[in-house]
This record gives sequence, C-alpha cells and structure tokens, in this order.
Amino acid sequence: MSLEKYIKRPGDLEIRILADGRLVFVGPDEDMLNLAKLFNPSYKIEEGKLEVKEDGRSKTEEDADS
Amino acid sequence: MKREIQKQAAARAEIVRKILNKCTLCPRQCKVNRTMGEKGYCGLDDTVRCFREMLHWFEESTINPSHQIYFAGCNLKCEFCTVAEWNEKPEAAAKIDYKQIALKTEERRKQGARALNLLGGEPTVSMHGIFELLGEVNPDLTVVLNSNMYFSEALFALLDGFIDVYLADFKCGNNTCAKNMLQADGYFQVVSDNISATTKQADVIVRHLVLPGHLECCTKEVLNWISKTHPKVKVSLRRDYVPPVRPTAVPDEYLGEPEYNKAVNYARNLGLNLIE
Repeated sequence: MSLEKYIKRPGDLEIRILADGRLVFVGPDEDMLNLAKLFNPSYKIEEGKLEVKEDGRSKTEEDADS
Repeated sequence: MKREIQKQAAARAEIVRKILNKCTLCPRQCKVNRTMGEKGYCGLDDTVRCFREMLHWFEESTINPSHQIYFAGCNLKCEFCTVAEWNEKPEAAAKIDYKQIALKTEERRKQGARALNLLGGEPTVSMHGIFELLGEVNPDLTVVLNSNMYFSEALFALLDGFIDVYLADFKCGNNTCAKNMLQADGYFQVVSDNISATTKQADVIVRHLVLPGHLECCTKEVLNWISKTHPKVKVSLRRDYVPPVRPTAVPDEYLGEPEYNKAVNYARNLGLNLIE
C-alpha cells in the first residue's frame, strides 16, 4: 500500500466505513446511490416517501400534510 | 411572462462574457481575462464544464427530487469539499453540451424531477453558461440556484427573473472560521448581504451544514443572524458533514446526534422556519 496521499479522480467510488458500522458514500453520483440501495434497504423506504404523479411532478409527505 | 424572460437569456450571457474580460464575478476580483484563456481563482477560463447530472432524492423536501446539474470550478476552497477534484482541476470535467442537458431536463422531469437545480462547485462562476442553458430548457421549469453566495453584488440584476429558488449555503458564522476552512476573506458580510438581496427576488432556503465543534462560533451565529434579519425564511440544517482524509483546519470527526439536536433545538427556540 502506498504511503502517498491518494488523489481522487472523477468517477472514483469512495466509501467510508464509520466506527459505528455506518457506510458513507462520499459525493455520490446516481450509480453510487443505486449501489447504496443494495447495501441499505432503508434507502428504498426513504425514496418511497415520494410518490411520482403521472404528470411527472412528485408529491412529498409535506404536500400530503398541507 | 417567463417565456419573455427566456428570450433575454442570450443577452444576459453576453453581458456576463463582457465581465469575464476582466473577471469580477466574485469577491476574489481576479480581473483576469477569462475569454482569452486566463484562469481565475476558480480555475476556469470561459469554458463551461459540467461533471455530473443526476436525479437526486435527498434535497430539501420543497424541491425534492431535483435534477442536479453540477458545474465544475469553485471560488471557495472548502477543505471538506466532497467533490474537490472537479473544483481544483475543472478541466478534468467535460465541456457542457447545452442541448444534451436540455434534453436531459425533459427526461428527468418525466422521472419525477420537480426542479432544475444548478450547483457545483459554484455555479455563479459559470454564470454565462447558466444563461446559455436557461435559454435552451423548458421555461416552465422551476429553477434552483444552489450557491455558496460568495459572489459579486452585480450579479443580482442579471439573475433577477431567472431563479425561482435560491438554495443559499451559509457555511460559517464568522470570518475567522471562513478564512481557515474556506479560504475566503470578508465572508460573513458578503454572504449575509447576498442572502438578504435574494429574499427580494425569489423563494429562499438558507442551508447550513452543522460542523462538529462549530456550534457556538458558526451554527448559532448563522441562526442568530437569520432570526434577526429574515425570521420567516426557510432554514435547512444539514448533518452530512464528511471529514476529509487528512484534515488540517476542519473537524476530523463526523457530526454526532447530540450536537445536531442542539442545533435543531436552538433554531426551534428562535422560532425559525425549519424545513427538512
């Protein structure tokens, strides 16, 4: 393993594992977010809060409450 | 009305190009000739570069999901930036293709995007490109400008009528922290003045990233200013700080739940309009 500081390049995937076991995706793009879905099923629940209407607009929980 | 404004986009882009001849788009006042290939502090000549476009599901609820267009290059050097490679070396990103991005906006809208979110880096250092893009896209889109707000006052006259929502980052509550962590002089006055000006133009969400160990000096100072100056403005407290690999002037730990809760409670006690 090199002792030199690693220089990130565009498109590089960076994941950090925290002491408490959480995974952090750094500066995620869409592919990384898709990967996050595989790691963490709760991601889908978060995304599921949004209902996409037929006209392409979305409805959030906040809208539903108002 | 908006269609009329759209026709002005090309003219506004030309005005910005003239500013680029001796660039004063931001408080750095580099005064380099970006149209002749000179690069300012932001690392950019007049080429507009985009390093990512995506549909993002984790923006603030009022603009979520959002079609993100990431412009390369930035006039701050935040040590904790998670996309620093494109800001330090923007030439690593591709030159923007306005027509392709405009097509993408339609695709993303059909996928559920509620807004076109222009960010970076710092989008305002590519202001001419933003106007070029806004001249190509559906004029009925809700346009969000996610800016660090460290830009010249002169931009407001140009932005007027084009931006529906300012997603305004307010990172530091004092100039010492801003100098150390963002490499920015006169930060607090510039950003607070600009946020005040945006409230006269469009909807505003002030976004503040809560930094570990900066509750007193930054978070509370930012919240106090909002409370005194714009108590009704929407406020978003972010908890997604990621420490860099080898931090020098920024926190080396992740934000804990107790510290985040203190920030939220402080904002609530001030009666601020917190959104998620």
